[in-house]
Amino acid sequence: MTYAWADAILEVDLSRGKTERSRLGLESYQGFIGGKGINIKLFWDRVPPEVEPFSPDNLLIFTAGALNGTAAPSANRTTISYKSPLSKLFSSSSLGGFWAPELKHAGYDSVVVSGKSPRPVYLWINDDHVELRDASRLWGKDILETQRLIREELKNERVQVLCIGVAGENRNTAASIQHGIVNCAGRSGAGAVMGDKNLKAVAVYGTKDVSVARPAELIQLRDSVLERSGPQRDWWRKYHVTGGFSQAFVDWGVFGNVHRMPEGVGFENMEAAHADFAGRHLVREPACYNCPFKCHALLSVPDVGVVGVKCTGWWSFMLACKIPDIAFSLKCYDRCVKYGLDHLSTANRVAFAIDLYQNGILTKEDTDGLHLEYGNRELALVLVEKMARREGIGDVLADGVYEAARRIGRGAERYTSHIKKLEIKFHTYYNTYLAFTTAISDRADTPCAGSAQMSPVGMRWDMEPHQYIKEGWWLFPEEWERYLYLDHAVDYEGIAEVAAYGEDVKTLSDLTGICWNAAGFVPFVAIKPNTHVRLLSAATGMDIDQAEAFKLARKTRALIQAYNSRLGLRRRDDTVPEKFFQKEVVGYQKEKGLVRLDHGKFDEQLDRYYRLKGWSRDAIPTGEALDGLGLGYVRHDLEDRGIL
Amino acid sequence: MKIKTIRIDASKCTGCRACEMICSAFHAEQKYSIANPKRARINVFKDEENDVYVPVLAGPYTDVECLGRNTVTINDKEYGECSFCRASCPTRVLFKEPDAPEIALKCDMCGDEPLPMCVKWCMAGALTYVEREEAS
Repeated sequence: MTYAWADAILEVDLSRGKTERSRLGLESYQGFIGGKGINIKLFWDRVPPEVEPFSPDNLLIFTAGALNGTAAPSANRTTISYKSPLSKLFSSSSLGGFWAPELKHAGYDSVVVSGKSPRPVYLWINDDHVELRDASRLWGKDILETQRLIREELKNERVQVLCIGVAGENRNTAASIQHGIVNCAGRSGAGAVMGDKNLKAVAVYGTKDVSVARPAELIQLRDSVLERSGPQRDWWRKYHVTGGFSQAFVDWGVFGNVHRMPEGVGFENMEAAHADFAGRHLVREPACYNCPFKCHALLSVPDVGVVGVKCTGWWSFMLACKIPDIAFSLKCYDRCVKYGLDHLSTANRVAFAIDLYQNGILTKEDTDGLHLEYGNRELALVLVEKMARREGIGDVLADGVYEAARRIGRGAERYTSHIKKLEIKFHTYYNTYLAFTTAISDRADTPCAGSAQMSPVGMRWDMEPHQYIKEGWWLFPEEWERYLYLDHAVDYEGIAEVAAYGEDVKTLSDLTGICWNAAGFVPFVAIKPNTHVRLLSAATGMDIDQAEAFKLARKTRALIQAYNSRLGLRRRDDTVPEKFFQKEVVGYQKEKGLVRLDHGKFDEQLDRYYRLKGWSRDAIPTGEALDGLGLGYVRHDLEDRGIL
Repeated sequence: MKIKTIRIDASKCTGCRACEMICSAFHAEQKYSIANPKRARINVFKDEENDVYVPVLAGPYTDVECLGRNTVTINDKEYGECSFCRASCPTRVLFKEPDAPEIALKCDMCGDEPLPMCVKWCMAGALTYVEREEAS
């Protein structure tokens, strides 16, 4: 008997309009556990590196974590993998919500989509009944309307839907795949690949049981997690209502090519303004499936309606357009959500275009007669729409700042802010730990997105280190407790070790489907690695310990690295924009004076990190490391290609 | 006579559906051996866009559907009464065993447990257990 897993994948060939249920084959896939692990293994086996992102041969794989559908708390993440049209690398986007558990209840671990449909379709999975349905009347609809229309058509209000908006239909490389009102698989263009395949949505309804190997143990572990969940719930409340916005975002957090928010724009009291806004407009803090936390905020925004938001969604456009108004920022964010657009990349692109115009690189001839300037509310909304629909200047920007700069020429490249072609968040990379982990992440993205882990220093929030350790919240090895006393915004010591270990913690989440919010992100982690692995063992019967589980996480990470090594990914790419090494700014802690990144120290940590991972100095997994992880076939492939 | 009741505060519901999950696991033939919200005796009705979250507990079985169906208006949006109805009813699949629809599901307050499971594990505090005396 199979526990936790369905041991089944749904193969969908859109070119031929065929669907087929087949065995996953746990004997080959168990070592990859679920989610991102199963995805990269399928990718390695089936997609040669030369396949283009917008080729019918590119796969779009939707996979549940091993624990999704079981009683394990917060196990609800769906991981979607594909070759990214933005970075041109293997990439994954994941989202919470209710979709992956529903897929498990329908009897599948994974949906593997290949080919390209000749007309818009959506996939309907109702247990064993699977069909491709006409989506022509859904084409052009926003993501909320699409979900509503599908539920009406299927006469089932409990159907869970993943879908794209107009941006995905138009292959904007910032297009996301969305679910519900707030869950979004964004950043590296998942929605563009889905749109290229003419697949508007995947709807699922499942009625089957998900069995577990050791029920009593699983429930006991679950109970203990929930009993420890209070502090994190309180933390989110505080985050939403008062503490979410940091003035440091303003000091450093500007998009575009400027390094500080200009004086006198009105950002001086943004922390208070944020708390005031949240206090007046927060209507609910909803949660994903079977999760005791509530990291989302539903806000009732004037002139917009109910907006679901988390983390950076509040502020991206406010900072990008230099308009100190949260309601404005949320209006732009809401527009992005409805079009199915990643708000971070989109805000970055808006600032990039304004910068180019202000510096004479773009003129009215290029911008459809628009005068691009900061502080212009209407302009932001116009640019978002143009990008979503690929109209005029929006068509150029829809390919991302890297491609757009190449197309525009005239020195536009100097104004780009990207890492491996993925536009950076407004979070600043003057913070050494943040810069480092973003540079080494498997998706060139900040913690909570790629494979990187938050700084242990940042994690303790406002609790004193000794108290934090005493209460048992520290999730790193005991001998590293001293790192809690460092300031990883400026110190380099231990960064490589913490980043490598943190990657194992984060990757484990990407495999089991337990949200990283519960298992590693915020200060009061209810599911520490040891508990995480015990949940996995009790549910699946795998019986592995933390060291073995981390080794499996490293196996997945190494396979991703090997895949992307074949696409030319090297050490030179594991960095952040040069400006963060060049220009000095006031640090997070103003009393520490001016800061900038240091090439020498950064490189030293990079060497240490590669050594810890078993990779060469040029970021390629070594033959020995691959053999040790049971990836001998990967070693042979890299040798045959002359990479090793 | 002691009447067991569950008081629902819809304003506190986060929509996580942990209540559905634990209900199904608790009532499994071998306790906790499976999870399946479609076997649950509680269902969270949600309309995120309009901020409506209502846990509904499975009530009595009925073999005949209602003749008149009312509507409920919340925040200017109209909903069919069925969305909030507790009955296991011929018009819908809710509150029936998915693989044996002839078997209706009804909340049993988790029998002798000190607290119904959905109440015990509603971390949002949307569900509370209340006993009240009623003349028999």
